[in-house]
Amino acid sequence: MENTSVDVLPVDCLSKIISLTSPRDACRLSAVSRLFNSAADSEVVWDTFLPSDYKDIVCNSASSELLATCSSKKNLYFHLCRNPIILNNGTMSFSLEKESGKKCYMVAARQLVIRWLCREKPQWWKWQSLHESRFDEVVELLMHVWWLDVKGRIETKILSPRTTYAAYFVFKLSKSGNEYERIALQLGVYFEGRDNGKRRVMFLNPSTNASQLCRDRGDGWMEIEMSEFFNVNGDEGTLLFRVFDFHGFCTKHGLIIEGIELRPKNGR
Amino acid sequence: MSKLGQAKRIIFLKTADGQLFEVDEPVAMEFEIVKSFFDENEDAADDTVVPLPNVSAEPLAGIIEFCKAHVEFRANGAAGKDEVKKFNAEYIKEKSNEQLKELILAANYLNIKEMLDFLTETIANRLKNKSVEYVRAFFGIENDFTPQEEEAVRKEYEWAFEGVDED
Repeated sequence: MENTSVDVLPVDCLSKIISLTSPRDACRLSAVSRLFNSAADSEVVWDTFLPSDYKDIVCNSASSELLATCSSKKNLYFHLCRNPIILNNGTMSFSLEKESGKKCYMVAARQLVIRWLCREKPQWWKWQSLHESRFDEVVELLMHVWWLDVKGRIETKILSPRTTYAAYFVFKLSKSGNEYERIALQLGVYFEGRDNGKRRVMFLNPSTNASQLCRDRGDGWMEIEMSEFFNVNGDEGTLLFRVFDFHGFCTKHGLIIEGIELRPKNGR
Repeated sequence: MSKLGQAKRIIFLKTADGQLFEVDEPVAMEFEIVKSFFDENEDAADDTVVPLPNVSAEPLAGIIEFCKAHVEFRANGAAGKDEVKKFNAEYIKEKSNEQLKELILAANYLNIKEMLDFLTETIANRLKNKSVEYVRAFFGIENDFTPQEEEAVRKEYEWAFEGVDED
């Protein structure tokens, strides 16, 4: 066709359209034609898909050099999807959910409040480094204890708005931890000051749970979905999460805790 | 010029297919391309015909309808209110994908910011979760990738192609 200059939208106009879709749509649209491919790769598009405060987050992380080393916004976006960056002196990690670009955080074991974990009882828990962990240290329950109680918190204002999140307890069982598979843990997630008392009861074993709520993450860890909630604008205050079992019919040990992750429930 | 500013000034626009449009000045001035034509030719006669060689009559009529309504909304202080949203929704409802494409091409050429923003958002919504084939048909685009190139893109973002809407 001769008159393509009038028949085809300019690339910046196409980029504007693509930036109003989603990261998932943009990746698919890049297969339409060469023009779409370059429009979908543009800085304008990926600047829109990155969280508005991404510069502050990356700048204050242990990987602040990413702002300079990533060759493009798209490159940075996918780096943050694949490689969680470490925040707050190693007590939290941040990443992006690739289909939507929404924020994911994991609160490290270091930042959780774990019962029995005190200076006076060093023989009950052990801090250790595992190559499969994103954090410097994870914690392992060594001794037989009767109770388990793990608590954590996160400010909802740092999460993406208008998003259904779920909280996931991320853990693994060491060789001696098989007893855990028979223990029903109670999992609760609620806004501070508004505990509705709802608890989900789960086993730390995928095969014991009929549902899909417990699964192998494929990164060396297991996870259990604790609960979901809708984050409107982040003005709900503090979100609390808790994993516990006070029944103690069975003694517990061999549980290694990575942390508790918050990520969008459905990518799209 | 107009006597005591009473009579409305009319701007004459001529489309690529030779049609002459008479448009009220405030509406025509929504088109950045027309505005700069008069800015650059300050002594242009009142009956000057502005040629629009890249726009045909059908989309121009649609654009004039949209801009006229929005100029009135602004004059009545209704900008951003529900009646504007209602008008926009009605306006777009009967437009086919082909008409939308014609409109955005014309609005882009005429450089009408408000309308361009609106059309951009409308088209983005129509492309969400649609297949590559649907989008090609939407814009009337030829696939200019080699089979290997297209395969490489599809493979890199395999996850983005799962579960799209039926065409």
